[in-house]
Amino acid sequence: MITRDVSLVVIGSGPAGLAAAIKAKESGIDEVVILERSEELGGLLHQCVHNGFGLLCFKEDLTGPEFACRLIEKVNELGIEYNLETMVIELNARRNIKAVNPQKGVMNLNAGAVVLAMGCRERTYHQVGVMGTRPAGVLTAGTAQRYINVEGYLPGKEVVILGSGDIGMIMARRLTLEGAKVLAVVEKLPYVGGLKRNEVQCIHDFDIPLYLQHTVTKIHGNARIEGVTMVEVDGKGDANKATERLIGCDTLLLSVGLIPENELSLQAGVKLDLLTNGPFVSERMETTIPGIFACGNVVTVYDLVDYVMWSGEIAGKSAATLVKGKKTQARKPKRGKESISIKAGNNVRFVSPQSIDKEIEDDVDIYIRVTEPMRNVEISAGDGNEDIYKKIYRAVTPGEMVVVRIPAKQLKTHNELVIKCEKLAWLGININFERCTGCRYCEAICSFGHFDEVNPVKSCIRIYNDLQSNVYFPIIAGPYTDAKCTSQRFVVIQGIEYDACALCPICCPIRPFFMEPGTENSLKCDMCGMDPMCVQFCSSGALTLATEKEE
Amino acid sequence: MTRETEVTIVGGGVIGLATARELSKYKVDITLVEKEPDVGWGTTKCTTSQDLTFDAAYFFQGLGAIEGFKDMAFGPPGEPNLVGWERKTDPHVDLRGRIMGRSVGTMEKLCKELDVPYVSCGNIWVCKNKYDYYLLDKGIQHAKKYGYNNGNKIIDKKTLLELEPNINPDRVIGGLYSPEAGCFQVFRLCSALAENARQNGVNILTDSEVKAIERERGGSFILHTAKGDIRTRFVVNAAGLDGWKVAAMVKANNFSTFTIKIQFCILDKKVRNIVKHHVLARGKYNFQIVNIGATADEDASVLLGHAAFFGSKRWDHRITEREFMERIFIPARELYPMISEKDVIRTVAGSLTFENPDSGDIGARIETAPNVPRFVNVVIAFPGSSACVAIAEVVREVLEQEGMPLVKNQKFNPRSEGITDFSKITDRERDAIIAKNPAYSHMVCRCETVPEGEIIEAIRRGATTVDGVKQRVRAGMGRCQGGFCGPRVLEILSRELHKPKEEILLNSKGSRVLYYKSKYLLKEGESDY
Repeated sequence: MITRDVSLVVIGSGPAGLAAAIKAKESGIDEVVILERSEELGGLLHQCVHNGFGLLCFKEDLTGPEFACRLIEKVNELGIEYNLETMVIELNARRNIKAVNPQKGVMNLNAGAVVLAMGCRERTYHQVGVMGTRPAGVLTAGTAQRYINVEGYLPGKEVVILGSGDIGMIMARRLTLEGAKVLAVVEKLPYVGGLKRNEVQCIHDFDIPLYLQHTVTKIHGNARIEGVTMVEVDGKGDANKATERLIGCDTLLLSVGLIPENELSLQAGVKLDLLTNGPFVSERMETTIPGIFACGNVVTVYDLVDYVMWSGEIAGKSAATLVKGKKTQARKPKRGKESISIKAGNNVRFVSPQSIDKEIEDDVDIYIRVTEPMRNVEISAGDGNEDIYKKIYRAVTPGEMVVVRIPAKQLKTHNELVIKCEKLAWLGININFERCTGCRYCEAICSFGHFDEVNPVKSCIRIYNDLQSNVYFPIIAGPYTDAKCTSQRFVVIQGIEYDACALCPICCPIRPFFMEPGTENSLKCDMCGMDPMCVQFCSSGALTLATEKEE
Repeated sequence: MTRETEVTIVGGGVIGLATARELSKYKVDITLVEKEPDVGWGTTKCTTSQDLTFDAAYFFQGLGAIEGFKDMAFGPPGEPNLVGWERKTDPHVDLRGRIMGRSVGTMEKLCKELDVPYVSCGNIWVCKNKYDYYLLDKGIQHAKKYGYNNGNKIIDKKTLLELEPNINPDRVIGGLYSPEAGCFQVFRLCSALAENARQNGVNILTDSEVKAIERERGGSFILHTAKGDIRTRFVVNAAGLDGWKVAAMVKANNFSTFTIKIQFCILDKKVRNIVKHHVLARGKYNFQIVNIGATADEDASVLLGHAAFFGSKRWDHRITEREFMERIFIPARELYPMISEKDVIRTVAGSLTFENPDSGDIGARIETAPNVPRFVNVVIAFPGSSACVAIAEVVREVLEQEGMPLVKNQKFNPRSEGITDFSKITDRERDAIIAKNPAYSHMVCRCETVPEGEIIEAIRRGATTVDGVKQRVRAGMGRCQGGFCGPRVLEILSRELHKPKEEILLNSKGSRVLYYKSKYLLKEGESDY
């Protein structure tokens, strides 16, 4: 049995935990100890062999293991202590940790500060009411991912996937690449649960049938699954029995949600926000228990590993500040005196972090999700009198987080900030490809209006010329990769189908288009406030202001 | 090569195993054959394993006429007919009563001997209306007559609410309380019985389905199993749901069986404190019982809603949405309104076979087939696991009557040591066990805190499947239902059993977890992508 005092203990070594440990060490804490239950550092990144990691924070397109390696190399460089195959079995509010380790047996650590970075677990099919039998061949997408990518085994060859979360969509592609046949991705909502780019790159690109507003109600088969019953559901989630059909399959994968793993947090008495399923945290990622911080998916399920890493850095820095002797400022969400509580307003499902210290100096990023897909909205943060943040979005969806940057300077006497998402009374820009003549007035006026120079490279709208057919596509820089094809997979111009998804790479932040030269800032269309200039100046009528019905 | 033995027990459920252990107290060569890869996987897996305090048959049948019970079984639900019901005397019904009487106190003793967790949580049969009181009264008379009325007392509403503060006061008027009644983990009991039987000389053969039985001139039987032939003098048919099949092989099917489907769901252990005892009540319709309760482990999840009903096919273990809500959830929520669907982590279903003698009552049949000497059929729907000791003794008595010589086995050891539960021992004990075996420091199941060492021990003691490990040490029973530990348990099984991963089963024959190594489907010409 070992008992020791440690300045900072980080529980979990996924991107959040690693980032926290690195930042804490860089901020001057010598004694940082990572506790990881797996056989290696990196958490679930190791099984994510696909790319798309690090686009924002490293400006590179890395695979999961590559991203993990960047952080692990840093850990080794800094000489941070880590214990593998170490499972924390107890944690209390006084920051005493009990863990079990192969070499050291039972470890009792008394930590000056703790960073919780335990990530999530997957929801099971029992929790979403899939009935029938309980045979082999039914597993969650993450477990299947481990089998395929880490252990090298296929769970089956004719697969149905229930749920269109990111993991489910990624696995649809993965299984197809391994030679299995994905018979269907079944989603009960009218839109996919994960990122748009995954819907495009994993499902549509591989011609996998996507059934929106459908669900699986029953599993058939005794020893091994033989099929599922799929049924259409209406807006309220009620199944229409007349549409029941049987799909024969030998595997069912579940991608029906992630639940932050807060067992240890609860043990310590940390208060959880039911909206995020994670702890209430301040902007410094401190929970309601002084000295216990949290970051990564254990706080809320983030979309991008970049956000996870940044949350870890904040937690690490804050924990370091605490350990180095400054006052701890744990925030209970209801205490109004020293902190501002952040609330989810209209059309916003949750906000994270949920409170901000009144005396902050730097701007704070609040991550939110909207409650349903909406077009042409304004997201604002205010206290009912005055909005201190406002931004227009052409399209928002629950599957993609929105980052609201609260300007520190504008926080005056606020006690509470409500972040809401309101539909704009007006509209967006409609593009009629057929009419575009390639005159490029729009490029000129956009760059002139925003940068005082006529330079197409600085324009948020570009005309892409297909040389073979001599067709011009106007493309507007949208929120993420969602440039134009928010609902279309292809565009028909003069009777010929063009795969609009080829346009995505053009609009993606790391590609040369829509990037401010010299600064590498992405260019995003802001509708010029209320009255887009490109529409005003369009000579051919290809760009028009859209009303709801037209879209 | 034909294996020679004296007694063959067909069926490795709790009854078969208890019988094997009972017989191993004597110098008899015993073989037990089980068709699945592990013991305790048929009817046994769907029991609630609690001490018997009241005959559930009363709540099942209501007060209807016994004649035409078969019709009632499939008939419409309705109010019971209050007039003129008395149980007729029938040797099979009487046997069941006598077994209940003999089983008092046996389970606590057995669990202690075998180091299986047993908790005296207390049982409450809840009365929702005055018919239920009438039934309870009848039930207590039955209990007194057969001698299992230990500690039962009728309680009024006030006492019930004190005992169960979370129960819905508008729905209950009182009940029957048995403070000493306990409950135990039937899976662990099965594996412990199997180990103890093996220690005492019993041969337990799994993956050995009996396909045919021949009767020899000399009076012996030859059992043709999936793994070879067995010549045996006596046969005990404890094959549960397939009992009729085995009996039919020698035309010894002098009984009729019906199937009851049992379904329940398991709730997250964080709602554990809702129910303080094991609570049972009548379900919405006749022939249904709602069962809400704590299981034997203090840490374990709450078992909910053991609803049983007729009209189902033998191996139909499906649960439908309607069944789940109507028969399990809604009746339970009627009594405990704070239960929510969000707390469900798993659903389970299974079936019981029960015997319906001419009297129409629920009986027990433990007797030799009239036309086939030395072939003993065992059919008893309930009590099952809670009376396994008593039933095993009755089987032994029947075999004795059939001429099986019973010379005491002086080397019989009733004690077995259970697998150390890492989550329950002290830190000092943990350090000690890790020092001896570092595999105990490597946590595999996070939800239930199960280290690799425990899993290896489970495999050493007979687990060959993922669920076999789960049943012995709880890995995979927690809220993630094996999402995290599943691949690791599979890997450990593959390594310890020297079997390729694609051959590891989830539970029964044919339930492979993995299909191929990856890239297998991409071999030349095989993929159409």
